[in-house]
Amino acid sequence: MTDGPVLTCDGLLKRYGDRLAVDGVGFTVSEGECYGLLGPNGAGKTTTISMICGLVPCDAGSVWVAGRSINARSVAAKAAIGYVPQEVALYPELSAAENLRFFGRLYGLSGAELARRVGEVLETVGLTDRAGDRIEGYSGGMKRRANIAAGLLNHPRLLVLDEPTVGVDPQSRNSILETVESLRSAGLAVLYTTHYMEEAERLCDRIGIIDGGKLVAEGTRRQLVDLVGGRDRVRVAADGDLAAFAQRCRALPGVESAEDVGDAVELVAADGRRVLRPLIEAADACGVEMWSVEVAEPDLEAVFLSLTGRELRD
Amino acid sequence: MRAAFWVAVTEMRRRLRDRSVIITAFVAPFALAAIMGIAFHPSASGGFVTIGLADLSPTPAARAVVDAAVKGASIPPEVSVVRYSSFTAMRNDVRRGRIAGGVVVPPDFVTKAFAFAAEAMPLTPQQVRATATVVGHGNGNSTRPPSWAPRVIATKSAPVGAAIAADLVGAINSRLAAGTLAASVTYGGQRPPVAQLEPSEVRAAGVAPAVLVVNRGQSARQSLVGYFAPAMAIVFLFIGAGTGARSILAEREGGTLARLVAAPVRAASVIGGKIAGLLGLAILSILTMWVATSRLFGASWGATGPVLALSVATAVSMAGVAILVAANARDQARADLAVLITGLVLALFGGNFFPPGSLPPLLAKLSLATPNGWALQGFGDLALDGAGARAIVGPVIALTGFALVCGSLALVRARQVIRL
Ligand SMILES: Nc1ncnc2c1ncn2[C@@H]1O[C@H](COP(=O)(O)OP(=O)(O)OP(=O)(O)O)[C@@H](O)[C@H]1O
Ligand SMILES: [Mg+2]
Repeated sequence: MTDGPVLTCDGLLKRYGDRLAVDGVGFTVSEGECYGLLGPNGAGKTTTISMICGLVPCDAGSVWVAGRSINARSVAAKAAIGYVPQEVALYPELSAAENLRFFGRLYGLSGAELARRVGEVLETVGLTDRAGDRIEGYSGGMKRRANIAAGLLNHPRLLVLDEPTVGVDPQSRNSILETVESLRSAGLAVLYTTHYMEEAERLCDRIGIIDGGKLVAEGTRRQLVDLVGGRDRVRVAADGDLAAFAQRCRALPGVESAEDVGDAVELVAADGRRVLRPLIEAADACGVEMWSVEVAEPDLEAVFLSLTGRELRD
Repeated sequence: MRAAFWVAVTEMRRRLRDRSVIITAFVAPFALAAIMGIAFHPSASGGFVTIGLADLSPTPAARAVVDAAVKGASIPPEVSVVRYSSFTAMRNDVRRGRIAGGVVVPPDFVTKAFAFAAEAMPLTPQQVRATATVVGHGNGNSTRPPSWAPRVIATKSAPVGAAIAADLVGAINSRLAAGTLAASVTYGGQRPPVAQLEPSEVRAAGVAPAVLVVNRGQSARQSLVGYFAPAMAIVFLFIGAGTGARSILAEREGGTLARLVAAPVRAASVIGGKIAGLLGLAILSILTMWVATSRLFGASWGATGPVLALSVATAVSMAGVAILVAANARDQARADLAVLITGLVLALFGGNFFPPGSLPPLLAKLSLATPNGWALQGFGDLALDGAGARAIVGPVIALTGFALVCGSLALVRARQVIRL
């Protein structure tokens, strides 16, 4: 396909009265990549997405999708975007199939092609057998899945999902995440906003952390963790002379601290995975018998806290 | 264009699935028109009504005959009769709503009536039947009364007055018929005419002409239902259009509007489609009313072409005002309230609840400051006997004016709304 990222946005700025809702946000998303925008309520995620999809005009900055400029006035270029709004944006008094046929027509689909495509997207989100039921009779999770289906109708190059799992039961959430994963594998560029760090960690190749309208950091999970100097925690459950074992551990390269906590030794290391082999050797040397080793990498919650001084969730 | 079409179709389909829309657009206006048609029947109306009488008889003797007939007609106490010396003066007052209706006694009525009675005497039963057909009502051969018979002048916007005036004409006629028949006996005919004319034929000869001139041979009830049918349809299509326009606000809050704007279609197609869907429903509701009241009550709205044209003009202008009101509200609840209040105020002044003929003159005049008033005048004139396309030219122009002004203001606002 085309070279370069599917989505490029740069210097996006949106002002509502005195409030800067989005302040200089810019990033790229490539084919087959899932980019996560992670931020708390009111961070500016929806506003950023709205500018990318051409729903609200930017006060400054530019958006390019599949090589074409997007703004509130562009019509044809929007055909490359699949948009899944934060709320369930379907007509409750129409069935899922009727909704999908209607929105499909807005994307220029018709006749047999429309029917086929509606069938395909219903299949993708697992709603084929409920296609004829009105949306108002759907459960929350089914509504959300139908909402995603509507964003897939037009075979988008860029799929934009705005917090698609809010208020959804774990089972539906899992099915939604699986759908997104498979779409990404199929080559879509996915832009995913969330304030659940677990989702961002599981789904996203790269994550942009947004707060107060600003993109405060960006990168893979590891890069973000390294950025704030995050340390892994390693817990070794073992029998034997744990005090001596802890002593020995402190001398290992990359280990910053080691503590005997009774039934285990807890270590803090720059990179937990690198110290595993020396740890086993040290245990052997002390005659300590290991039961289990757990490595806990710092999570995005911690990254967010250290970047903004605030918790991710209110 | 294609997108706008599907937006319109989907809008209508959605609204027709909504039970409250079915009730407000189709059931409620029909039920109310039927109820008000019965409630406003002259015998049930408690208010005072003024009826004009233009007696154009040339001689004092003839005028005395008419006076005697009027006195003899048992006019209810709440009806007062005002005399006019000219037909035009009275017609203008009826048009302006100063009087609820009027009765004209043509110059040659008294002499013709006497001559008719005199001629009737020696006629064979066949000839009698032929004459009765000309004069009479309901045979289907001819619906034209003789030119000398008293006529009722009424606009349909004053149906109460029209019905009472028709009663008055009936009373004059029957008094005169009795008088002339009695007179002809004293002229020395061999056989008394009463013996020759069947009682029903006497009634036909006397009463029928009056009824014939009112609203295409409508009974009072039919003409009242015929008045309230468009009147109620208009009230509800305003409210329907308002809630329809409000649903655009609901779509903004619900997010479907964002989805529409995210699609590769122009904003104009979205707005245009929404408005077309709204208008489609409004026109559908007024036309349903037309078909239902003419089928079920025999109410006549007038010639098909002009009724269609006026219905469309009415729907467009009422929807224009309603959209403007809804589009300027801050949220959905306020929009609903604003639409409801505006709709009721317009209906009150426009004459949807009280026909202008039964209102004080100032209020009757005020009705033309509303699109409702113009629409009702148009429908009223259309329903009058022999009215054609010319009857709706004024109302259609006025309604189009309302629609253009309010519609363009509403569009400006709608464009802001759609920019989320
Ligand atoms: N139409 C608007 N008018 C005024 N202010 C707005 C508007 N839309 C958003 N804002 C403001 O812009 C800021 C960012 O809002 P936005 O909806 O983009 O946040 P978000 O990250 O999507 O939050 P959430 O997780 O709650 O969805 C907020 O302070 C919000 O109040
Ligand atoms: Mg949001």
